[in-house]
Amino acid sequence: MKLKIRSYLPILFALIFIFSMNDSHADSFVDPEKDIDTNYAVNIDEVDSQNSTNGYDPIETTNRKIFAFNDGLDKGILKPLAKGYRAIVPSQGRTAIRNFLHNLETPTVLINDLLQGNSDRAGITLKRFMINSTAGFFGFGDPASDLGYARHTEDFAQTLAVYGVPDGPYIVSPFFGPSTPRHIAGRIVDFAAHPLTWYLQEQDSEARYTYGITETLVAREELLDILDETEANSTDYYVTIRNLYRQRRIDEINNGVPSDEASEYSIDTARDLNLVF
Amino acid sequence: MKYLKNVLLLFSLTITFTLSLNIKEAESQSCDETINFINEISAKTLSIVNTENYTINQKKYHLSNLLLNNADFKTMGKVALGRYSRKLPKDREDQYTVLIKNMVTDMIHTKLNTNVEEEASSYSIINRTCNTKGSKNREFLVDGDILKNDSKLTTIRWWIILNNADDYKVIDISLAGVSLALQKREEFTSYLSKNSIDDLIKNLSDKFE
Repeated sequence: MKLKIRSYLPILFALIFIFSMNDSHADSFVDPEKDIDTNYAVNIDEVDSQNSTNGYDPIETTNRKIFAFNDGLDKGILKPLAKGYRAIVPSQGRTAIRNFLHNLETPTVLINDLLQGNSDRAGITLKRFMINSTAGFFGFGDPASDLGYARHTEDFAQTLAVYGVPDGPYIVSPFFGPSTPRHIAGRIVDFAAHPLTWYLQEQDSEARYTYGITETLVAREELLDILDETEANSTDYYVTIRNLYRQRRIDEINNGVPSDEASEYSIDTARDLNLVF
Repeated sequence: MKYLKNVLLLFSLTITFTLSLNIKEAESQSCDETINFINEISAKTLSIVNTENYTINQKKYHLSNLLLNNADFKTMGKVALGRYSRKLPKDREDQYTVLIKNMVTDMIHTKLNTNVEEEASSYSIINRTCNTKGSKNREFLVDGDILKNDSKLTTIRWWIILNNADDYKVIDISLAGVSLALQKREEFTSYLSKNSIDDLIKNLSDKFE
C-alpha cells in the first residue's frame, strides 16, 4: 500500500501544481459586490500592521513635539531667510553656490563609495571632482553632469545600511529634523570625515558660522516649493514628512534602483482591496 | 495498470508544461502591451511639457485630460485608504474619488508652476523594465528614468492595472523612489486611526473642492 501511494505521488504533485496555477485565474470571477473574504481582510491588516508606524515610530508623541518646535523655527526664521536669499540672489548665482557646496562634499561621497565597494560610482565621483574643480571653476560650475557624470550622494549611514546595520526607530532631532539612530551615527562620522571640518577648526568662528549658515540656507531654499506643496496637500504634515524621509532614504540606500524587498508593493491590490480588474 | 499510470503522468506533465509556457507568454505579452501604453503616455506628457506653443494654462488643461483618460482614480483612492477602504460608504465613493482626482491634478499643476520658473529644459522618459505583480497577472510595475537635457534626472516607477474592460490604467507614480500612493496610504491610515472617514472627506474637500 505504501509503495502504491508513493508511485502515484508524481501525478498528485503535477495535478496540485496545475490547480494551484489555475487558482489565480479563478479569482477573476469574484463578485465585486460580495463581502470581502475574511482571509483577505486578515491579509491586508497584516500588511498594514507590518508597515504600520507604531514599530517604526515608537516615540511619536515626543517626535511630534520636536517636529512642531522645528516647524516653528523653520517658519519663523529659516523659511523667511531662504525666501530672502531667493529674492536677492539670481537663479544662476544660487545654482553656482549649490554646485560649489556639492563639490566640497566630494571627499565624503568618495570615501563612502569606496567603503561600499562601489568602484564604478567612486570613479564617477572622482571624475566629477576633477572636472568640476578645474573646468567648473573650483566647483561653481557643473560641466561633469553635461559630460554624463551625474551627481549622486552617499553618506556613512548608507554605508552602514549596505553592511546590514538596521536603521532603528524614527527620531525627530531638534534642529536636524527626521532621522534614525543609524542616520545620526552616520552624520557624526561624515562630519568628522569632512576635510572642511578640520580646516574650519583653524579659522575664526565667523568663517565657521558663515559656512554653516550658507549650507543651511542653500538646502532650505532648494526645498521651498516642495515643502510648501507638501504641506498644502497633506492631511497630516508630520506623517507626510516621516513617509517622505523613509521612502527617500530607502531609495538613496538602493542607489535609485527600485527594490521590491519588504516593500509595500508586496500588497496584492486585487485580493487585499477586493478590487476586480 | 502500470501503463495507465505512466500515461497519466506523462499527460499531467505535458499539461503542466504547456500551461506554464502559456502563462509566461501571456505575462510577457501583457508586459509588452503595458510598456507600449506607458511609452504612449510618456510621449504625450513630454509633448505637452516640452512645447513652447502652449501657455501654462493650456499645458495644465491638456495634462489634466491625459490624466483623466489614463488613470484609475477609484482604485488609486482605495489603495490610499488601505484597510479603511472597506469602511468607505457606497454613497461617499464618488465624492471621495473626485477629491482624489482633484488632489492629483492639483499636484501636477503645482509641479508645472515650479518648472516654469526654471530655465528652459528638455525632458525625456525611458521606460526600461516591466514586472507583473499580484495574483491575477493584471498589475504591472514599469521602471524607467527621467532625463533632463539627456542627463539622468531621476527614476520613475509606474504602477499599472488592466481593468475589467481590458484597459490599462495608471494607479500610482513613484518619482525618485517616492510613491504618491504609499505616501497617501500612510497619511490616511494615520489620520483615520484618530478620525472618521467623514472627517477625512471633509478635510480633503476643504483642500481640493
